[in-house]
Amino acid sequence: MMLADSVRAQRTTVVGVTDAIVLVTDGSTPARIFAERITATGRKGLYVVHADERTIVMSSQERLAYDSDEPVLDPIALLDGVALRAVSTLAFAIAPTPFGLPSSVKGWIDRTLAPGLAFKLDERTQRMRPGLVHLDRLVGIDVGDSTGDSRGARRIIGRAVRVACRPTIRVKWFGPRRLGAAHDGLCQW
Amino acid sequence: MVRTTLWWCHPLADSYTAAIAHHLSEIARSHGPIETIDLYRNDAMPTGGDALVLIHPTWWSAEPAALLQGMERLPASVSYRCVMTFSTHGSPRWVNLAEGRNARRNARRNLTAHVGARRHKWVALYAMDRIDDDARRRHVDAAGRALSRELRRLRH
Repeated sequence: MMLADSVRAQRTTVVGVTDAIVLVTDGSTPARIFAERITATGRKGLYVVHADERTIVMSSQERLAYDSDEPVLDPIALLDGVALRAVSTLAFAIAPTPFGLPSSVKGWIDRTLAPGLAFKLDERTQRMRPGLVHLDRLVGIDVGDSTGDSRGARRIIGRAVRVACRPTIRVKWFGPRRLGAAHDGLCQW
Repeated sequence: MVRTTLWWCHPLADSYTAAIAHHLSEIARSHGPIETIDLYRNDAMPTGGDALVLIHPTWWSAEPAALLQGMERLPASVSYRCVMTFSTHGSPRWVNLAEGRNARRNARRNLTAHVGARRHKWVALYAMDRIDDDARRRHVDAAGRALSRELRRLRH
């Protein structure tokens, strides 16, 4: 099955399901294992994105398109965006690096959370208006071995991405010792 | 003589970030040998020296993912005396403060520790979408003066 087909098939799992989740992992082994455990519980409405090297670099064509009416060119990023519109929880399972958020997940954020989806720019004032106002929860899960800069990763998810959500969104962060609670939470929400 | 590495990152070769990088490379050249790495068109790694100069836009309160990937791949053997960051922000300074100034913290704490630098200098242009071309030109000149000051300091 082509990658786009599998993403499209996953998308049908979140559309029409209340309390669906987009779970973005950094593609590391602990994050993949965490995502597989959630999937194995049979939780409905789970859309898993494994960010990897492919998602890192925004091309010059993508950067030019970013300011246009069609800001996303990558078909996978487009499908991820469609899924994100249909869910109530955005979760990240990451193993922080010494430089904070893994570059694969930062690349996913740069390329998927584009104007029109994550925010809208007021043409007159150039101020940003949140676009992810339908989200109820923003969740970060640190599946790393505590050697990375967890606080840096937490700030980008809990503060920068939060700016694109409504002010009353619930933000949760689970450290490496609370993976059980994160697992239970993602299965119950 | 001050050995400088300019490590810059923007998808567009004719961007404002590129204009800053070209201006700073001229300034740095007048102080000694330079190594210029355009991350989008050249995947070479910095090899060490006196000053590491990062030039990048700030997206989602942090460096572009390509630069973050470059940092993750930076060998532990590479060392510099000083790290300087020249960054641009679409949003105002207070928004960046509220978001945690992640690019600044990352360079100041993590990158300087990684390359063994004792000093970090941060030069940023905020709210660049709302200012005019004159203000942008003034910032390029100001960035050049800041780099020149820092390189003179390293020489002594």
